[in-house]
Amino acid sequence: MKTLKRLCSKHLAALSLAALGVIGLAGSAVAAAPAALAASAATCTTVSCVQQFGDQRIQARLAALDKLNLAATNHKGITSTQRSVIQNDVSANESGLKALKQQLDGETTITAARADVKNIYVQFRIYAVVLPRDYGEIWMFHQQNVVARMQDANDKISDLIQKAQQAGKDVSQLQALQQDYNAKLSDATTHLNNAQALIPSLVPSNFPGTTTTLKTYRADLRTSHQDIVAAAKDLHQMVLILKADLGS
Amino acid sequence: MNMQTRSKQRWLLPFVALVLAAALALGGCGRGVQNNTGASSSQSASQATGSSSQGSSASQELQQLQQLDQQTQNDLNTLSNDQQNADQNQGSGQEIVP
Repeated sequence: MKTLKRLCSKHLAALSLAALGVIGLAGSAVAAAPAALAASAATCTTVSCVQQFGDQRIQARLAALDKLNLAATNHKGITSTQRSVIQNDVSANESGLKALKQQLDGETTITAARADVKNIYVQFRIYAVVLPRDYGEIWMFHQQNVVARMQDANDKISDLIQKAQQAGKDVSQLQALQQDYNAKLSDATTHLNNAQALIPSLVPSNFPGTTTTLKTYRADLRTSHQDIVAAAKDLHQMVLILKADLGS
Repeated sequence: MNMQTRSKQRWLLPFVALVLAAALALGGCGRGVQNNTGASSSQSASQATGSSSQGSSASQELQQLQQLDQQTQNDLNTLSNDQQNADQNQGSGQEIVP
């Protein structure tokens, strides 16, 4: 029995080590990926090599922008005006990248081709700035619409609470829930306004300062989202109580 | 014969006048009835609307609130998708300039 246990523990230890090794290798591979990409362009010695590298980078960005465009187009929770903000931004970036690709493909010197490749990053910052900002904006627009609709229902809630009171029901819990509901929606509005105010500064020319701004932007959006979740719980609770008090 | 014709003519005019008067009177009554019916139907419609808005306004409001609750629950799911998309696009090492 002891031998069996020892054998098992040895096997377990070996398995753990192997698993750790696999995780470690995968981790280093992930970490090495950007460096390898960078090295492949730096080691190019011909114009066509730099062009091929640049074209691949542009293609990846165009695909990511298409995905963003699709997310905005198919989104049911944002208005057509809000949708067009994202679609116009995608369109402007795609046009710019396509023009840059055309320019890169026409270069005849390695120096000019490398300058064009550099502009994929410096001028556009699709991954570092555009996508985080625009996906955040979709999230923000949707939240703004949900908050507006929930705030619009406040009069109705007050009216129903009054009716429950007139029917002789104890409405103290309903009143507390409504108070929290309004407080959460008010806090969500503040954070959404704060997030929206940051958007004009989230432009490629402000990189790398945008990294810190994006952190604040996302933190605001997360907080407002949590507020909406809390307000939605309050609403659900109020509906249950009112159903019991007034019937449905 | 002449006497008979003259006698018929004497009766014909009052008879036509009587028929016309009767027709006019009946038409007027009919229109009056029609008008009355219209008035009463619109009145009863407004009464019905009034009574329903007064009588079941609490249940209507509650129903609307339930719809909002349901819609908000659906929105919470799609908001989570929005958050996931935003989290997956936080800016990456792919922006290293070669």
